[in-house]
Order: sequence, then C-alpha cells, then structure tokens
Amino acid sequence: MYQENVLTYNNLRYLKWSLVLILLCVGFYIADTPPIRQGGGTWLGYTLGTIGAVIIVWLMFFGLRKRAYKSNLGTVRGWLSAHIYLGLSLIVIATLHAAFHFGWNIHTVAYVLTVSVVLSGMWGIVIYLRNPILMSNLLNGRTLAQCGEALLEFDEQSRKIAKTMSPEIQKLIEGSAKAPIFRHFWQRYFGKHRRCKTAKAVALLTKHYSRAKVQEVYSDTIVLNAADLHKAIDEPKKQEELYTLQLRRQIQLNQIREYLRLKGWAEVWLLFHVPLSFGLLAALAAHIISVFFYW
Amino acid sequence: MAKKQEINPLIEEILGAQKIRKGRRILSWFLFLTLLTACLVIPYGVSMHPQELASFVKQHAWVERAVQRLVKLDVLPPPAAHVQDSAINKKLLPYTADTQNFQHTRDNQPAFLALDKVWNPGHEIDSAHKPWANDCKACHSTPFVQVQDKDCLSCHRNIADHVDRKVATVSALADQKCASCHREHNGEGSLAKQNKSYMTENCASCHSDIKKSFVKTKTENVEDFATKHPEFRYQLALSAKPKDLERTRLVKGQMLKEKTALKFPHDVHLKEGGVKSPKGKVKVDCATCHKLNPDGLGFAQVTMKEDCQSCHDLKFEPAISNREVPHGSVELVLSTLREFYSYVQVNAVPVDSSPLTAPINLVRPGKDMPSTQSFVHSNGSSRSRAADAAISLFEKTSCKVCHEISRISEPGRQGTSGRDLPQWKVAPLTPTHPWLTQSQFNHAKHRIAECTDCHAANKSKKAEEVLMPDIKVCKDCHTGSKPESNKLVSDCGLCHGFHMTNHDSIQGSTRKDTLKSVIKSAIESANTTSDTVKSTSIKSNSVELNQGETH
Repeated sequence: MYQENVLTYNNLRYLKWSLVLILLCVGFYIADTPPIRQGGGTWLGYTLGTIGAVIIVWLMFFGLRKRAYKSNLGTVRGWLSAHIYLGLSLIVIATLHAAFHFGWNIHTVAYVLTVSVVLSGMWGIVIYLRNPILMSNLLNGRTLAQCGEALLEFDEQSRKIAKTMSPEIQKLIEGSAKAPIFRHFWQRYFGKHRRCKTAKAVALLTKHYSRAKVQEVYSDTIVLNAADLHKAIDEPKKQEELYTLQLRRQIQLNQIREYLRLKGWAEVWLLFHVPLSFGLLAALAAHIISVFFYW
Repeated sequence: MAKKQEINPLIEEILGAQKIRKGRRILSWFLFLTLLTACLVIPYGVSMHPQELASFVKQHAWVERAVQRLVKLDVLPPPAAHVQDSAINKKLLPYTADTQNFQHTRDNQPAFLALDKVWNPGHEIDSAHKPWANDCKACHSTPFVQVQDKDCLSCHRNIADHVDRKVATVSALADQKCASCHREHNGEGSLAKQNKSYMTENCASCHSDIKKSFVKTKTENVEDFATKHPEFRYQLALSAKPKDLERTRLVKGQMLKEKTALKFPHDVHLKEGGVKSPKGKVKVDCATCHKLNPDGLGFAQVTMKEDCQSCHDLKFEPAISNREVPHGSVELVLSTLREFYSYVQVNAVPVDSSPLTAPINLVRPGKDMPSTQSFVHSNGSSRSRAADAAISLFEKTSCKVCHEISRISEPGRQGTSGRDLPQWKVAPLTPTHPWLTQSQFNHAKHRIAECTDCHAANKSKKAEEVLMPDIKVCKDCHTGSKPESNKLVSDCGLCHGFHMTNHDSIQGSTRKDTLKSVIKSAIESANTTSDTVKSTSIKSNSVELNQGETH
C-alpha cells in the first residue's frame, strides 16, 4: 500500500504550493524588464526579497513548533512537509532576488548561507526518510536499552561457562564484556570498532579453532600458553557454547553500533542545518538593514 | 538488577549515546553572533562613530601602526577622504569644475577606515564616482533615507531641473528625484547615459496629456516619435534685441521666417557653377562658411572677416587700392575715411599707376562691376572727398550690398574724426542663437547625409528664410521606440534630455558665479594641496571646510 511520508504529505499539498510559488516568481522574473537591469533593487527584486525573508523567518519557526507539543496549529508533520518544500523553493526565490549577481559582500554571504542551509536540509531529508526505517528494522521492536541488557545477559552466561576454563579464556571473555561499544567518538559515525574485544573472542573461539590460527591471529596481542590452549581445545562442547554466546553478542553489538551510526548521522546534519540557519538569520538582518541604511 | 544496569558502563554508554548532542545550540549562537558582529555591528559602528574611533586609534600608537600596515597590505581600503583629496586637487579639478564644492557642502565624515564597504552591493559604481567608492556616506548622507537630491547637487551644482518646480507642482514631478533615474551601483557605464533607459514610457506618462499637468503650456502631447510627435518648434529671434526669442512651431507647407536686416541669398552663393569673386569663379559649399564645432553639435559663428571678406572686401579708394575700412562700426568707417583723405592731402602719398581710370572691386560678387570713382584728386576739401567716398561706400558699393542702410540727419559722435561727415545707420542684425532649445542634433553623427538633404539652402533666396527641416525629414530614417525595418529606433532620450537647458541652475546660482568660485577655489586648493594630501583621512575634510566656503 502507498505509504504517506513528509514528502507526500496530504497528497503533495505543499509541493504543489511551492511549485506554484516558484512558477509565479520565475514567470514574473522573465516578464520583468526593468529600465537598467534586474536585481534586488527593482520592484520585483524587493518583492522577491520580501517573500524570501518571510519564508526564511517562517522556516525558522519550525524549531519552535516542533517543540510546542501542546500546539494545535497544524501537525508537526504538515509543518515539516511545508518546511521542506518552501525551503527548497528558497533556492529559486533567493537566486532570482539576487538576479544571478554575486560579489564579495555581505549580500552574497547571506545568499551562500541560504543555499548552504537548504543543501544541509536536503541531506537531512535523505537521512530523515532513510535512517529511521533502517534503525527500527535493526532493533526489531526492541529498545536500545533492551539490546544493552541482552549484551549483559550474554556476558553473564559466558562468564559462567568460562569459569572452569583456562584463565586466558576467562580473560578473553572478561575483555569482551568490559570493552566499550566505541573507543573513540568518531568511530560512531563509521559504526566500526577495529579492535573489538568481542570480535577477538569470537575469532578465537571459532569452531574450526586451530592453534595455528590462534597464533596467527593473536600472536601480537595475547601470549597464549600452548598447553592451556590445548586444554581449551579439548573442551569442544563448552567451547561451542561459548562461541555461540560470543557470536550472538557480536551480532547484537554490531546492531547497536549500526543503530548508533544511523542515529549519529541523523543528528549530525542538524549540527550544520541549525547553526547555519542562525548564521543566515544574522546575515539576513545585516543584509536588509544595510540595504536600507545606505538606501 | 536495575542497580547493576545503571552502574554498568556498557548501559551507560548506550544511554549516553542516545542523548541529543549539545553542540548545536553553542554553534548556533556562535555563528549568529559572529555574523551579526561582522556584517552589522562593525559596519554600523564605523559609519555612525567615525570620529570617536579615529581619536581612539590616535591615542593608541600600536593600533595606528597596525591600521597603517593593514592598509599597506591592501587588507583595508585606503581612507576615503584621502582619495577624494587627491582626486579633487590633482586629477578632477581641471575637467569637472562642477564637483569643486564637494568638500565644502558635506556635513558628515566618511566611515572609519571605510569598513562599511562590506555593505557595498555587487556592481561597480560609475567610473566618474570611483574616487568616492570607499566613502559610502559621500552620497548616502542620512541613514535610512534614500540618496537625496542635495547629495547629488552638492557636487553637480549646474544641473537644471526638468521644469521650474515653483511653476509645476504636479505630483509626478514632486516624487521625481535624481536617483529615480540615475541608479548608481549598476556598473562603470556612465550614469548620464544609463538614465536614458527611463525615457519614453516615463515621459509619455505625463506628456501624452501634458495639459493635464500644465494648463498653460504650449507644449503639445507626445507619445512616440513615430506615431505621435508634434511638428518641431524652432527658436526664432523676434527682433535684434539679444534675448527677444520665441519658439515657433513649424506649420506644414509653410516656411518659417525670421526677420533679419541681412541680405543673403543662399541660392546665389551655392550656384553649381560657382560664384564670381575677385579671383574669378569660386565654388562655394556650405562648409565654406559654416564650420562645425569640435563637439559636432553646432557651428562656429559666421563672421565677415573669416567667411565674407575674402570676396566682399571693403576697399574704397581705387588710387590706393590696398586700403580697406574696418567692418563693424559706422563711426570707425567714417573716421577712417576722414583721416585717410586728410592724410592724403597733407602728405604726398604715392598713388597706384592708373588711379583715375582703373576700377576696383567694390561690388557684390556675381554682379557686374560699376566703375568706381576715385576721390584722391577730386575737387574740394579733404572732408568733402571723404564724404563722397562715404556716400559711395555706404550707399552704392559696399555696405548696402548686405545691410539695410539709412542716412540720418544727426551729427556724428563728438570727439571722433568722422563726426563732420554725413551719418548712416546700419540696421542691427538679429543675433545668432540656437534653433533647438529642448533637443540636441549632432551634425557630426549625420555626416553621411548631404546638408541639402535637410536644409534646402540651394533654393533659398532670402536670409529671412529659416532653413530648418520638418519632422518628416527625420522620419525618413528614424522611427519611434518600437522597431521598424530599415529605420533607427529612437526613443525620447535620443534627442531630448530631461534637464532644462535654458535656465541657469537649480540652486539659483548662475554659471558666472560658479566659474568665479571655481577659480577662487582652484587657487585656494593649489595653495593647500601639499598640506591636504599629507593630512590623514579624518583631518582633511575639516581642514578644507572653512577655507572653501566661498559660495
């Protein structure tokens, strides 16, 4: 069945509105033949500038509206849909207002900021439409805290099994349990942890565990006693159980990592979109005031 | 269990990762405040408080050094006033006298270090205004008020209005400002040319029904040159008095006539075979007498000495044939004759070989030559000889040819040698004057055409005939504002200007006044040039302020 989202909200109502607005602006721009040249200072220029400024200020109110949970002034979904389409129309309106003239001055700074905010918004739309579905698919109806608890559960069980096993194995399991999800903050945006202790444990406990493999994989990090290793290999059943637990832990951990990666990116675009839009607000104020200060 | 969960670093990390990051708010504030400061607060401050900032810099030597270094490195634009001083005193003064009083009329200081330049919109300003490119306040004198006429007129003093605003109180004109048509910041092209874009449609908004604005006007309605433009009005002299002029409209099929005391048949002079002259037949064309001025618009005045006398000489005595009377004053002519014949009588002046019989050329070229009398040896006193010569000169051979002459009974002016001779009056000629007052015709641009294509001079028999063409002649090549094949699109601005050409100045000062003040200021500024150029940006404006207020 056709699924409605912010883009298709209310039968594309705001897309249609924005298209009408854009077509009107383009039409007037083409028809307009001012005496000298087109620009922000003609009547059409002033009109386009006013429309653009009003749209920018209204778009910024979205930040308030989405927090105003008690508000009945339309739905947040509707506001967002309008926010997206009117925001996109700004590119056309601002460009026509500038009449394709740019220079090294604050007027062009305001234009560049407008475009940057819209571009970051476009990035946001992609993430907004894509990430939540991927995220909920990942968790499959659970919460992230529940996933975390599952990890703790795996650790508890692993510890129990490893109790009778060699200290190296115990150390391995303990290392796996105590390791952080991400060692560095930036790892969050890649969703990967190269020296993941759980991955290490899984690798060591592989069914087709072999001394050669162990040595090959871990010779640099853990000095394994050959005799102890032999002993461990002798316990295939426990070994397999432990392996299964660690493997499930790893899968769960990677799900959490992927979730946090998606969530991280879903937030990081706002780190551009919002501050740039406040910068734009300042530049817009300077643009308007300066134009009339030296009228 | 719950307690364990809280303590567990893993859960803690998960919970921590779910929190919304706080950087957004800080970054937002940072960007907002930075941009607001750089784009608004600083330019506003330097514009509103240049003096305070300048004195602050002066008090702190290291700041001054830093500023100078930044200017040297081109990071900061050079101080505005400095540029203006150099421009006015060194470059512009000889060419644009109009701008002379710029510094004396402005009452505000340029922005500190021209840091308000970041507000400058993209396009270049007119190249003539470049010396003020770093000084926004030179034109934008009052914040939040559009550039006012006084800002423009502080330099461009001699620009006249469209019509006298005391007479015309129509609202359309009241709203009209210099900046309505002259839109600065639109590139380096001349503002004076650019404003022609405002012609035609804007003109027609009033001129299509001009009586609505001015009931008494003689101006007729105009919409477009091709479709609705009245016949031309040429300025004619009503009498020989200097300013007795009136614009008269051409009537179809009739030739305009201007009363004149000059006898001059163009057709005789332009005869194809040439015209008789002392040197034989001479081919004369329009340019022989009408010499185009370097501006390509008008012609140098035709003078007796330059353009007529080579054929129409003013010799009077065949016995001494190289003597001529001066042209221009009856008194001088009579005195010359009187003195000449006295001198000849007193002194033994050698005469030409065959004085008694040889004719001299004293007649209109083209006419047969009557025998000319010599008076050197005739009977009577030198006074009577001079009188005879004068009668012959005035009434027969020379003056009468071109002028209306009448003998008067009054005695001559006391103290002049010719006072005891008969006296004549030469009817004054109507003074030369422009035919077109409200439009411009560039002859240089029409060189491709023959003079006679527009001026039927070769058929004109009398000097009183005004040989100016009618609108039909122009329409052979020119169409209106809408394109037409094989014709030149011509909007109002092609021939007409907006500013009145026939009154002196919008501010009531005459050109003479301005010229005087310009010369005076030039001398003053020459004296102060060295000081002014050296002085700093802030100082220099006020230095000149008092010295220059001479108007």
